[in-house]
Amino acid sequence: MVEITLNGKKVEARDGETILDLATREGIHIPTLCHHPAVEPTGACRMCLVEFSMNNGPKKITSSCTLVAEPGMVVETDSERVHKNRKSVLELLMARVPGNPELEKLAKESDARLAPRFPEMKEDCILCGLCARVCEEVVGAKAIFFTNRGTELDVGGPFLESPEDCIGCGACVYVCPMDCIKMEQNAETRKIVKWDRELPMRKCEVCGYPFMPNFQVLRFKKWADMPGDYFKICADCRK
Amino acid sequence: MVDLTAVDKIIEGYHGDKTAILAILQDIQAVYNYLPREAMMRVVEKLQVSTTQVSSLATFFHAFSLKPRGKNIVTVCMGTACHVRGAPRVLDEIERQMGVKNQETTPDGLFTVETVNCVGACALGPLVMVNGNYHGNIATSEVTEVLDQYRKPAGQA
Ligand code: SF4
Ligand code: SF4
Ligand code: FES
Ligand code: FES
Repeated sequence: MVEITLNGKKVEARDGETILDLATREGIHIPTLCHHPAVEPTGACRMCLVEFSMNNGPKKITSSCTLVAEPGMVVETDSERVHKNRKSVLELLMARVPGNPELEKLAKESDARLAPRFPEMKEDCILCGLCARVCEEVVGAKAIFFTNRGTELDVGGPFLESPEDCIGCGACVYVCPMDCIKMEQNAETRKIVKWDRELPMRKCEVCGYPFMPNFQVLRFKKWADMPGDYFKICADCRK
Repeated sequence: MVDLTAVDKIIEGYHGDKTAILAILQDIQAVYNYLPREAMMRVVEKLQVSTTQVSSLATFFHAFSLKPRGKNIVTVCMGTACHVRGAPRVLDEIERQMGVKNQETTPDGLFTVETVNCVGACALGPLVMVNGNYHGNIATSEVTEVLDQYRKPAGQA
């Protein structure tokens, strides 16, 4: 157990617990975009900024999703400086992805100016990398990641081409905070639009429902050494 | 098709060490003058790493080129010190003489023009490197002379 001061109150953090997790446990709301409990935090979006100091040292601003509680830490999640910084981050993100509902929701919470202060970029992605972390750490496919750097930075398949290791599971579609990874599906194929990855579907031998991309079946067999006929019928018919 | 014998040799030299990707890519570029896609895919296959890992590294560092480059690499320093001493004019002059832009290769395959941000020899600025040879305090009027040194076939210099 680690004792820290959170918004003026002494609280106990678990060993290795981040300030974001601790605050959430204490009922304190911190806005986040790139955080997901299933994957390692990388502090990419900067929405979750807090102010902290050690042993009465200088106060620093940092991302709470990557800040691990240490004895004697003093943290502010609600100070003027914190809100000012979060607001700037949000304004920059809104300039990058204008009109995004999730960002507008955060803006309403924080009174960030809706009239843009920075030139609009009309992108749809904030380059937080959550999709890639989930694809690697949860799915295990490592199909997408960052390419280039600086102003050229982008996320997608290797060399920004259609990712051949993508199994079309849709995990990235589900976690993207900007909701910019779309999935289209019909009886024959499933397409992850943002990655330009189209996969033929496998139909259940019992009910005929297209329940899984063929390629996903092949990968599952390779990864988990599943029996060959395990994926001939869908989960519903297997019950 | 690119001959990959050299790539296999390089990878063997690192005994399949997954953490040596960067060194392997550098060695590959030293041999081929750029990173051929086939060579990178061989690294993926032999080291059993993901294609995304190799592609993110290969595109992160400006020192790597994914396109074939010329016989001679002309690198113009655009760092702060060189910049204030006239590097943009030197680059303009080189691009004009070559008829290609930054990051491009002349049609005869002799030269590729590139830029870097400081090579740590600021006192010599403006600075142009050709194949790693430093040409310091270069004036736009000296560009022709420097480039001509590399136009001559070997042995005739
Ligand atoms: S696609 Fe979505 S999850 Fe992936 S980097 Fe962009 S915003 Fe983040
Ligand atoms: S759909 Fe493809 S890119 Fe997205 S998480 Fe699944 S395997 Fe990765
Ligand atoms: S949630 Fe902490 S930086 Fe994105
Ligand atoms: S700026 Fe050119 S060498 Fe430093």
